[in-house]
Amino acid sequence: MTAPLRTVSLAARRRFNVLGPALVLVLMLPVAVGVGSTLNAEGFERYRSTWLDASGWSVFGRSLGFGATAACWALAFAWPVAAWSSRLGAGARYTVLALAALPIVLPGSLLAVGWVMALGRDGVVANGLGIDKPWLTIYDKPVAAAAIGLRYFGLAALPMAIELRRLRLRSGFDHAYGLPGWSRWWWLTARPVLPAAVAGFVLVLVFAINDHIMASMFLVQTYGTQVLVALNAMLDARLAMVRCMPMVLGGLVVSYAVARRLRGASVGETHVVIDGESRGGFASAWGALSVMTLALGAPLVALAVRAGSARAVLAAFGEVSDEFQTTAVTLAIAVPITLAAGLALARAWRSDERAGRFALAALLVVNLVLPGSVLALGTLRLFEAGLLATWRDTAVPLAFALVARFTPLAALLLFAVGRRESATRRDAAKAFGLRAWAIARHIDWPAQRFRLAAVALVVVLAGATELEMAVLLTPAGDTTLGVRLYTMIHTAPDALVSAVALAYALALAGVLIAAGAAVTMHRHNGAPRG
Amino acid sequence: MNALRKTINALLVCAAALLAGGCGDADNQTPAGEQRVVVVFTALDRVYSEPILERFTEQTGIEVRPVYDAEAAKTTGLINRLIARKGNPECDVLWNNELLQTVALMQMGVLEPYESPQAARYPAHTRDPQHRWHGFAARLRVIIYNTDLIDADATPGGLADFVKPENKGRAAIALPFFGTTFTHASVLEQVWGGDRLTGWLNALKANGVAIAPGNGAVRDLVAAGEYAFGLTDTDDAYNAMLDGKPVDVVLPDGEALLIPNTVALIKGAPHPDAGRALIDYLLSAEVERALAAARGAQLPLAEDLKDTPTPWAELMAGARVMKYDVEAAAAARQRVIVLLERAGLGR
Repeated sequence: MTAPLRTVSLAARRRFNVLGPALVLVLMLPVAVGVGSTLNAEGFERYRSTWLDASGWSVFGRSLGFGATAACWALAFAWPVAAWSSRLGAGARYTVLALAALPIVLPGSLLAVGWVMALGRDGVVANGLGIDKPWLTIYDKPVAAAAIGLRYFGLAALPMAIELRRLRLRSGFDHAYGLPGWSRWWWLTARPVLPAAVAGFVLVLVFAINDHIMASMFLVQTYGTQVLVALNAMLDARLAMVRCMPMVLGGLVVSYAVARRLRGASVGETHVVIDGESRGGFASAWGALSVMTLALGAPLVALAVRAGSARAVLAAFGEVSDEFQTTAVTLAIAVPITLAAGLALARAWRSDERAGRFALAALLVVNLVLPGSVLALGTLRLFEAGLLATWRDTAVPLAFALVARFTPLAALLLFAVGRRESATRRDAAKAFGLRAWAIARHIDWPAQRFRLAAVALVVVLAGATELEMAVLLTPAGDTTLGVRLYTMIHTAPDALVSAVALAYALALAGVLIAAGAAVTMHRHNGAPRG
Repeated sequence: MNALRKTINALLVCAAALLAGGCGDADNQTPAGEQRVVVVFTALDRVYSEPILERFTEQTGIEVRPVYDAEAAKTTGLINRLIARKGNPECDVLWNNELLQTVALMQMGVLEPYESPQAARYPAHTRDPQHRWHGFAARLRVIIYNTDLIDADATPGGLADFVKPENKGRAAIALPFFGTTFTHASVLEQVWGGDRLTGWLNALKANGVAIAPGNGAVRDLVAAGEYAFGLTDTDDAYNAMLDGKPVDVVLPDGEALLIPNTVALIKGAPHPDAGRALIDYLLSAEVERALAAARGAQLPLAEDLKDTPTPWAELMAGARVMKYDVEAAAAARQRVIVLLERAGLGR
């Protein structure tokens, strides 16, 4: 029985190796166009003037320091949320993790306004404490970094929660060996979660470095501002690409290192399902609720105060109905493709890692670390000529850019979620001659549906308020939700902007909670576990 | 499997036809060949530009398909979009809220000359001699100050106040690479010279001047009392004044730097006739009056609208209007940006 299975498994790997590189090549086309534009005399001159000048590195280094501070804060915030969610049932777990990701989809400017109202020199906190000149405000870098960490901590919480959940399923080990407290925590909890924490750290770091909107409202200029200056002030896409290169190369190296580390952690593990007791449950729940309250409560309360009334919030739904429709259509095209491509790439990645080959899928992380506008410019050029030009003035270019942007995110998440998934059932099904469609329907779908739904939510959340690509690629006459919200921030009355953002946040939170409840009910009714 | 493949192929073809169908130009013309659609890229805040575009549609029956910029995020993406699609433009008309980037586009060969009949109502310096762009409805650069923090008899009078030791950590300006702050810096480079501007920028940094993400943010920082004064535009300042915030404005050094809206036809525009009709409308007295009456309180530039009441009449009384060579300022764009980057503001 062993020999045929092995044969089938290798055949499957061969097929994935065709699909994986093909997807990577297609999705990296916009980046290839951008990099290609720098591979000439003019481009080399920009490399020389940028990276042979110490000031370029100095600016990058300082931004890296700020981003790393934000990422450290994010890990600190993510830990209790991940720990608590790992103790919950599936529905509640997905809901908590999705709520942790909610600050990412609120417009950065509005979140920043909320923090300024709370922690400004004349903010609620200083006034409440009766301090005339607070010694720390939101305009101090560590505090600003913490606020940015609170925006992105959901990105770190997700891989850590997955890893902690796995560990909880074998919590009987720490009883068996009777290890002392800290030692047990380090070797049985923290150490195995470290690769996931590193992955989360890198993700937050990348997003923090690129976040020029929220940071700039705290009067901090990030490296994203430098790229923006090249692109939108100097109107020099080549220089923008050259300035992106450290992020591109750094992202590739780190993602590959993380992929190798994950592989190492997954080799030779045995899973023993023992119901462990809920030690530390109260502490982690308290910590998680504090973080969630801080991350969501502070800006939402600020928005609610500015919105003025519940009627304004209800009226706000009508204000963005057209934009909601445009965004929904674009996401309806982009999200299924993103999920399918992400799933294929995650499988190819796992297959490559298990076979000890270079995981080509890791390269795609480039699309995630580049500023959206650079990716959008590459997409614009792609749709300028040939067959693709037919779709030039439609929703397709934006949908393609969203797929290119968020497929790496989907692939990373699906890779992390399913990296210990056994291939035995698939291999056995292949050995018995089941067709691909039947395998997908009877084996893959029951096992993957909740994971796919969770990843779909993350992609929808990230894509719905995407701004930089939407400005460049949305067809004339249409506006996406992200662009609409950002254009309103400094122009529409405060109450209206707050009401729209609050309505959007509440609607999303409602969807997330309902989805969580549905999953819980479904599982209680005896559905197979995903 | 064949059936499945056929179904997928059919769906793809249908989706492609559906998506591509919306952009066929045949739908955008009347049987007589009149264009009834115009695509406009506008950087003016949507809250001001949308009502005007809607009135144009009401009056002409031409549907406007606008693309708005997201100024708050500093994604002046429309300009990049125009450059990237220079070979296959989708846009007919650019309605920019400032001047230098429009002139830069002209220098890149993106704009098409069009002599609007309305252009004769404007002074010669507000338009390109070859009619590749026209200026209208302007904003002013002003110093906004917090009236709770600064007494009326001690208001900052000019740009030198930003670098005085007694004002250390009390002032804010917007990130100078974008929008009207960049225009201001470019004009200063022309008027003062590069060395003096560099000196002033270095002094700004040494004096702890805050670098905000935009002029609206400068207004908010000053209105909230985080900073005592800052450099911004009249439309931002006037919004705060209307909202009852404790702020007032003065002209820096008593000099008025006017930054007009600009409108231009795009070379190779898919609907040039409709585009020309929109340009005529935007340069009309009706639009300048509407922009003056809106919360942005823009200043009409047409000769026949000089007496239109605005909140800035007192401010402008006796003020000298700064003169500068627009094309030279646009051509010096890269040089000024390098100079600004070397100053390292906000890092």
